[in-house]
Amino acid sequence: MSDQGGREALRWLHTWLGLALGSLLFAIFWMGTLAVFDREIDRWMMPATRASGPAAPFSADATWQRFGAQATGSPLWVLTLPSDREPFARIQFAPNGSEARAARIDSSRKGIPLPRERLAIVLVDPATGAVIPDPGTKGATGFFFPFHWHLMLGQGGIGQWIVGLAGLAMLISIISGVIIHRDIFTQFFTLRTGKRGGRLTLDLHNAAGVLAMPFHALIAFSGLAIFYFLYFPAPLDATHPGGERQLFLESRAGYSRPQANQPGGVASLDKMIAESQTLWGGGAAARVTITHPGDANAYVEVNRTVDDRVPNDSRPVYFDAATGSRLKFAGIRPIATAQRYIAGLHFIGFDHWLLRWLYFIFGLVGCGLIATGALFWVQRQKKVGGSSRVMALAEALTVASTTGLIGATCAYLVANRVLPAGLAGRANAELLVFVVAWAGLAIHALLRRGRAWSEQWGFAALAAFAAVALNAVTTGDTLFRTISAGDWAVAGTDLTLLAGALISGWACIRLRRPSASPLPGVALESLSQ
Amino acid sequence: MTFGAFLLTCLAAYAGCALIALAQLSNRQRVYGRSVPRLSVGVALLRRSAGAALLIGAVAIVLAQSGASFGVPLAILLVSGAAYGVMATLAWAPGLFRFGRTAA
Repeated sequence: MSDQGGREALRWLHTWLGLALGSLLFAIFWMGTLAVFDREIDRWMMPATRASGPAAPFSADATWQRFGAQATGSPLWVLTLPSDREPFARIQFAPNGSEARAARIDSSRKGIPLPRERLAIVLVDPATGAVIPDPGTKGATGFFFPFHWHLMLGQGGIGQWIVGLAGLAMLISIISGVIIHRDIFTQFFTLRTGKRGGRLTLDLHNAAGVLAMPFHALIAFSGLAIFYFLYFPAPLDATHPGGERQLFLESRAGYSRPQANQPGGVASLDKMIAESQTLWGGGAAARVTITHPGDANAYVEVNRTVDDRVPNDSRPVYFDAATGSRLKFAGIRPIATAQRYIAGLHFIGFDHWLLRWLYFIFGLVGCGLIATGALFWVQRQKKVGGSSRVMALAEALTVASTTGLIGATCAYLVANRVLPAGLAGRANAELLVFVVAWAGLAIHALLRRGRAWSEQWGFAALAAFAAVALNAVTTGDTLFRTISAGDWAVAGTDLTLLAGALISGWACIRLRRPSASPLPGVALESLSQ
Repeated sequence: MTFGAFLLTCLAAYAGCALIALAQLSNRQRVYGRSVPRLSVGVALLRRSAGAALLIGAVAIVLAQSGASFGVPLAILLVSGAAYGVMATLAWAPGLFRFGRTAA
């Protein structure tokens, strides 16, 4: 195949992958970017959890004594210890009568036989010991993050497969984009702001793609590497008849034993934590999990925090629950270490604020990359005289999947502040607002050709500003107060919303000017034809 | 990473990207005007090499300060950020690279 033929084939591939999966990719990238600060956004959305951290070192023993009785019969009892980003304790277990009580951990083939989302949650303020009332929201960790990695379609792994497909398409698009970009080296730093038509859009697309290419490739590849066991089942089935669970136990130094169906107690969890910290050579404990609590064969897993490291490896230590004697502590296998490092680059569980902000900014660049790609295609088709009906649909889809999604996200935050605290099904009501807002903005994009861009940027600006104002009014936590108190999670969210409001407002005003078409180079009047 | 090291890294990466960018004729024309002569092959190679050396230096500072684990993603993002900085300067304020001269 000649160079020209090869390049044209890759251009076709790049274009159609982008068209087919661009909207989905934008949603995944947008939610992933927000998930960089999911715990901080949670503090904003759950005012009752804006705790100040423990007044004294937090006692796992006291927590077990207080909340452990409810866990007898539950497959798991999980205590997540307070941290800087989540200044409260979280206790999870399967309550009496719940579906999760029936989970058979030992016979499951799944790597995570009982996802923690299926467990009941109790939140405790470590400073006062008071139980924090149900926040009545999924927040960011319960919506933005799961939307990012499985589109809220967790059943049967369908969402993970769709996201994986999109991630693979992103990788292919990055590679094909480099090849079809004929002047990649001469145009490396080029941004021709004076140009009109598709030229500026293409320059923006190239700038967003080329200069941040290592980041985009890293994110796409690491996202796929996280679920290697799902995307490559054949090798897993061939080498590990016990499925993902066997793989996880062997490669990540895990431990498991069946319950004895005899009653048993729990020794001092604080002593187990202290012993674990000695074995780790320092570092705080993040989580304590008791499997088969109340059973003679119960065992305790203590996980280390990953705040101070990139690899997402919590170095678990296992103890016999009744006696406190250590059962297992081993390092993970070399290949698993590499996989945990790559996964850690994607999860960003570490406490490194410069890196976290850089990920956020480059995530927005990735969103811009996808959006400008779609926009460029629409501009090109308009220029070559494509069908106006197809153009209308393509432009509406581009608007709905970009500014529509941004506007819906802002509406979700506004709903969080507006919906009554005691409303039954409040969390689902917030999601409904998100869906209705997104659908409404999609319809708006179809009906308001030529003006949809500016009007939706205007909507996003108003909603973002309203969210900040409503936070101040409904919680009393004005920007001045949160900055003075050093509550940077809430202050940072407010400041970012305000910055977003300003940028969206500027875009709205800029695009409303008579000479400014949402499609540079295409006169506003011609869009309504 | 100390603030001083961060600043030094950003400056080194920015200078490195700028040297590489200004070895390119189209970028030199943005800064000095259409009549600016093309650099000789030797001078262009020298500038690109100096730019690459500065970039390597910036990466080395990051790795030394932050360790390999954090240093790798940090270096990638800081160098990309510097490249964006040079692109923005060329797009909106190319005169900043002129240093009072009409042509280099």
